[in-house]
Amino acid sequence: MIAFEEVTVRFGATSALDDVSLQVRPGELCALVGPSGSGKTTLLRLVNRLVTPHAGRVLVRGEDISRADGPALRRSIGYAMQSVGLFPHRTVAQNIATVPRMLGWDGTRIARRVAELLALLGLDAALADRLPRALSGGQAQRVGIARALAADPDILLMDEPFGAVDPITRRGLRAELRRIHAETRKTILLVTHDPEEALELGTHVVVLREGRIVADGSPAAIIGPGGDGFARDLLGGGQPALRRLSLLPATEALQPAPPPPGAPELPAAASLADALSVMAETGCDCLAVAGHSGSLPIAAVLRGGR
Amino acid sequence: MTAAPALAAALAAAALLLPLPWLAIAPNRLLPGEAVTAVSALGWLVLPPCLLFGVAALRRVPPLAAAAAAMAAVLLLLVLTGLAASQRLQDLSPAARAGLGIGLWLALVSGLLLAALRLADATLRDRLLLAFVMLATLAAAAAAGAFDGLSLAVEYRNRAEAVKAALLRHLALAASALILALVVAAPLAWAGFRRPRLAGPVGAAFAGMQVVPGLALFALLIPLLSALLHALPVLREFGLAAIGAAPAVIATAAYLTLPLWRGLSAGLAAADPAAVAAAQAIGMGEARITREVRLPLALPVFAAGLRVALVQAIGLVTLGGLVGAGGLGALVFEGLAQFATDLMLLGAIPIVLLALVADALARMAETRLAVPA
Repeated sequence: MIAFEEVTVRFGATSALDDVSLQVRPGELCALVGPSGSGKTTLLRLVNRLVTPHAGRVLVRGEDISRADGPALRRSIGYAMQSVGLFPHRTVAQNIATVPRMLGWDGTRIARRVAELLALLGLDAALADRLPRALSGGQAQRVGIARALAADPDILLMDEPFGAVDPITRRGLRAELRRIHAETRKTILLVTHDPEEALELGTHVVVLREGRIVADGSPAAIIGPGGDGFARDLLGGGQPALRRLSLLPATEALQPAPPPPGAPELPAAASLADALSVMAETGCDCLAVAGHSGSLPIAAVLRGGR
Repeated sequence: MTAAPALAAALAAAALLLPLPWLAIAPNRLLPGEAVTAVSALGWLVLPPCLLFGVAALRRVPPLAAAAAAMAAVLLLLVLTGLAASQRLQDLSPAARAGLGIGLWLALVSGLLLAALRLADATLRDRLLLAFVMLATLAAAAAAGAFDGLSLAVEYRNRAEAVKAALLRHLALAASALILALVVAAPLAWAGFRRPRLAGPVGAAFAGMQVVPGLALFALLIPLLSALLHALPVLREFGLAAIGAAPAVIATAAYLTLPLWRGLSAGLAAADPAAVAAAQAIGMGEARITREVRLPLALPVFAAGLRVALVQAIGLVTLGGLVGAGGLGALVFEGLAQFATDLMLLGAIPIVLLALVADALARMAETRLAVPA
């Protein structure tokens, strides 16, 4: 869906991205994570040509965008950012309708779409006629995301979209984004400096450091043994193995042998870290999993499905 | 602060009741008149206005009603005085006139001040409504001949055409100066917005203009323009002349550039950078961002600059009377030269009213344009 081919970006003398290549497949939620100044936002802004590469190519939907019309390309790609940037003189509905209006949709289609998006983002329909200043921080972020999704783009770029809200709202918004991604299967590029957010949301995690990609893969693979040391430090929170177990479903380590009688039962959606936690709590070294006939011995848990 | 209305009311009542000159009955325009006090001019009729002023100062009376009472008292005084003047002039020669004395002015000013004080917290709409009712009543009374005896009215009647022409001329001069200043300030504000390095010197140049005394600039422009016309006679064909409208409009415009440029620059910078960044990121082009994001957010700030410039223009164009531009200023300066107070007032009162009306209208536009809270 999106491909970066040996892309280099310089701002003056400093290089923001250095010979970066990356593939993002359709339907992925690709989390770009790294410390500030690592080039993650630059990488995101290459996709809708807010930044142009000094060398290399960026392909979107298989086409080199270097010759595409910038504004037209941007209208076909959703964009949401930390500072939201809602237009203060326009109502929530008008803000959401910005891109459809530019694309020349008719009024009834726009109104229907706005109502749909308010529902999708869990916003009260009564907010439609409010001005942005009447919104809470979390509501404003949701409206910003609704505006990005308004013209139903197949690609959504998100630059720390939950950075400016309190931790509780942020948790809610993350869950919402996971649900929206699951419902719409859009290709989402998400910039974040929060390792937990990257691991929780990303189906594909890219770790950047000083303008280079140091790790690129599924969350569990990136913090697994043999992964890049910097990426494991950044994402592992000092316990990369435990983090990894928390990303793997318990069913992955299920053994064919039946569980011993009286073994504690895990819910079907539990992770391997949950299994470990139950073992530590109960003292049992072999568990059952709800709805499955096999058993979960501690050795298999520790092997972590490897 | 609550003592202020009481003080204003007391002042108005004192002006009525103390032996101050209320009217001056003169045999003609030039000779000083014989002073008549309010009590001897109006008799017991001084009491109702006094009562109304008292009511207007009472804290228990709602502000709008109080302001209306004060205004009614002012109107009543004007009408009563006009009638009293007509009566006194009845047996005198047609050249005789009744001038307005210090007592009357004091009563009018304190009465209006009292109304203004009570209206301090009223909405703009209520204020405009009250002012409109007052002016309409005044106009109706004038049309009915209530003021025919007063020298100001006599002066006006003799010069009605000249005053109307001067008013229109005044407005035309002020508008031309405003447009000229906009033509200069707008591109420079845009350039300063695009290249912030330019903003400093441009602002300093416009601010420097303000230091030049107004009268000096108007006078200075005459030799400058005549030198320019001498060097480039072709400019004469465009109607440019060294005296008259050209120096007045140019000098006034020179003073208006600063408030306009400030308003325009602040307006352009008023758009939230995040909103502009978002507009770009979701596919608005530069022209569309300016049209749909920057300008709508800039308008209330523009309007504030425009309001200051408009009021300044109406005031400054008065000086144009000195360089042959005409307008209400010409009446003021003619009156000053002839020592004719009534003629001076005939020029000065409309200038003040114009400035007040322009300010009120511009304020209304400003609140309309602002993003509601």
